[in-house]
Amino acid sequence: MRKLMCKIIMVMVLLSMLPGCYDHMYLEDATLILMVGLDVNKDNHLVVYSSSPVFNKDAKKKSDEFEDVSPYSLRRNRNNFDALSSGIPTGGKVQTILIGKRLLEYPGWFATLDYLFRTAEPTVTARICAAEVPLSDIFYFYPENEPLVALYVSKLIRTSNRRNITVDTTMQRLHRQFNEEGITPYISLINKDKDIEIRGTALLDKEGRFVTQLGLQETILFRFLLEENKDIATLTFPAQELHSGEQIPFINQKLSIDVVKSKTKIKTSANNGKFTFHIDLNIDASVTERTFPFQMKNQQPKVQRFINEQIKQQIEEILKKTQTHHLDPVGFGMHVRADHYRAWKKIKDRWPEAISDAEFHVTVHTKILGSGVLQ
Amino acid sequence: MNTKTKTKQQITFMQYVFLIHGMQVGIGFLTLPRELSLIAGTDGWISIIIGWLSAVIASIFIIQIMKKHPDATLPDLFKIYFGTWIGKLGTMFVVLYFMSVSFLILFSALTIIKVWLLPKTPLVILTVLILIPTYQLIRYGIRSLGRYAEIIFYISIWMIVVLTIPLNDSHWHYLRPVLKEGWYPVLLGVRTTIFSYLGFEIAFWMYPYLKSKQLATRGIILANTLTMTINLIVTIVCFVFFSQQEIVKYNWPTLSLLKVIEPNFLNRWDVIFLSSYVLIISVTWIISIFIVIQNTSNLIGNPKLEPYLLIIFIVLLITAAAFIVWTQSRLTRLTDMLTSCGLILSYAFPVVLWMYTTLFDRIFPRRTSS
Repeated sequence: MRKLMCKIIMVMVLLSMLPGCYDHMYLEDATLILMVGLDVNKDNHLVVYSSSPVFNKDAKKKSDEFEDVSPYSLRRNRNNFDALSSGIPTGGKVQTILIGKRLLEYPGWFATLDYLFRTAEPTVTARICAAEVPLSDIFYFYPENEPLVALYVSKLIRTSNRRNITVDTTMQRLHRQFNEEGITPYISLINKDKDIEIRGTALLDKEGRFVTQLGLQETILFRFLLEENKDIATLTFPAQELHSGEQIPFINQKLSIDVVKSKTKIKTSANNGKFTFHIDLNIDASVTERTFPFQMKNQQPKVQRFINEQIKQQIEEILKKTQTHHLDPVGFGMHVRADHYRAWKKIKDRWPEAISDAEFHVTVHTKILGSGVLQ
Repeated sequence: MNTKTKTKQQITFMQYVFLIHGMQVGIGFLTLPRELSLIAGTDGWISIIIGWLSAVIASIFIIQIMKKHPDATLPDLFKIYFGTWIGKLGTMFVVLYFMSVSFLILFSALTIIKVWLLPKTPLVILTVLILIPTYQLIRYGIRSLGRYAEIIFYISIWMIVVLTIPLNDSHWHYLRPVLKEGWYPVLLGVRTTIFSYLGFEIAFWMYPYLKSKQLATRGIILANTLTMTINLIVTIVCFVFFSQQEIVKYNWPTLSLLKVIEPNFLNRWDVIFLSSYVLIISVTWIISIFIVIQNTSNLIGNPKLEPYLLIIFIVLLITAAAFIVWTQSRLTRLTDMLTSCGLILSYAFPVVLWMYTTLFDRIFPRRTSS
């Protein structure tokens, strides 16, 4: 009996201590930040934006936006949000982090995100995205037929990812890209014209400055090089070469393919500190659109040759673009390190610049699996 | 130690393996990838294998010593070979070592919990909450510890599977070329990995309880191999996931790794993982406290006092939680100190003791039977 009493008392003591989790928080009190934005305004001040949903039937607006024009840092900024919002902000649910293009002109902006990496609570899977317009245009945009703008942007980036037209750069990956010596960072790029839209990929230099960008189709090919392509990748080529008939207005001669499978092999060779990269791309594709008369059945080799040539040219253009800007978003540096470590050690201090001497040989092998329902 | 409790308190082969393995897998596993990467770069995984080899050799020496007196623990051996007073002095050192180990493990674990899970909860409350079950476990002796260690192993197997999920986003060519800078950094890294195997020295105390003693060597090798496998998996996953310049920036790369896993229905895997991980670390401090109590009662020579000693020690731990601020730098200093002590106790000491006892038994052959 005494033993039983002892046990009961023990259980009671333990239970009474359980509410000792001092940092419990009720959902009603929480302000869940879904999107954070960092930008520089006209007076060259850092501006921090945040957008969070409002869980209240009576509220007319479904989201709360805050703008802080004099944040000391991202961490201090949270204190300022405390004063503005009726809830306690939590960073654990951030989906997207937008970086204004004006901020991207400053080297070292990445350090402002330190708070998000140093504390355990915020997620590291938030997507990072550059915006071509001032961020206030996006944060104070209330699309009528769309959900909250924070959710909208995050969904836009996720679905574009599945279609390969933008890159999948999460916080964690960006952290790696900034810290890895053999690669330069790349992030998604959005723009707002009438609506918010994906513009492809922003390529940054090692300090994080915006250098150049890749369009939608270029991003797809770029992701082939990264071997990161997902579900669907649709490529479209102007096909005057295949059918030299008269141009039909609006339609033109176009050939589109869906890439089902692709495999990229990158081989490096070093010769006196000069590197040569052999890129071998194998693509399985099916034709999804052909806006001109053509005998597919007899002339498949011709079509394959045509696609090979087109992809090869476009990839070479991307590589040339990155080379002239001294960028290495594909991470050729990592390949050099893995294959030619001695040569790499000599060159690694000036790596992204050294890529401009490198030579690229691209070969593409396309296999056409079918032409859809039609011949 | 009297024979009556001995027959009542025996552990099976598997319990023996998991006790040793449980003692080895502690907090080291959370920081190992960073420490290895700092010294040996991406070739650190080779150091783990070499470290395993040295741990196995030292373990075999321990078993060889224990075989000579199957019923004696280390303090008893001290008495037999060094006489009462030097023996007591040796036992006192051992007690001090394991006391510091229990302090270190308990407060390191709690610090990590505070950073990752409960930043605002006072340390004392966490300590009290955790030490009450600890008391109950140790109270019922070695067998309940054995069962606990075994069950904890089985219910945490899933964690290794979860740790391999980030391989989706891995770069295997980080590992190439193997032996980037030659063998020298790899050998330097062995010292770090040796620390991650510390814990097999508890065979000095576990051996007398083992039911089937002929399996002792096999068991300790198995325990070491389990530990190696886990360390190897974690290190390689971290090495191919993080870039080498990046990994050194994380305090606990293994936990940072988990933040990446984000299924649609769950936002922070690391919370679940860490909460379960507390169970794994708990084995380490529970065994340390157990050994402290055992040795102290041996020192005093009265096993009946054990429950009181346990309560005194637990109160001591709680007081330490209340009045000492356990900063990360303080813990690191304690770790560094204990690493050196642990290296001596687990690696150098068994070899020396084995040579000494062999020599001793040659010179005084009759005393072997005592």
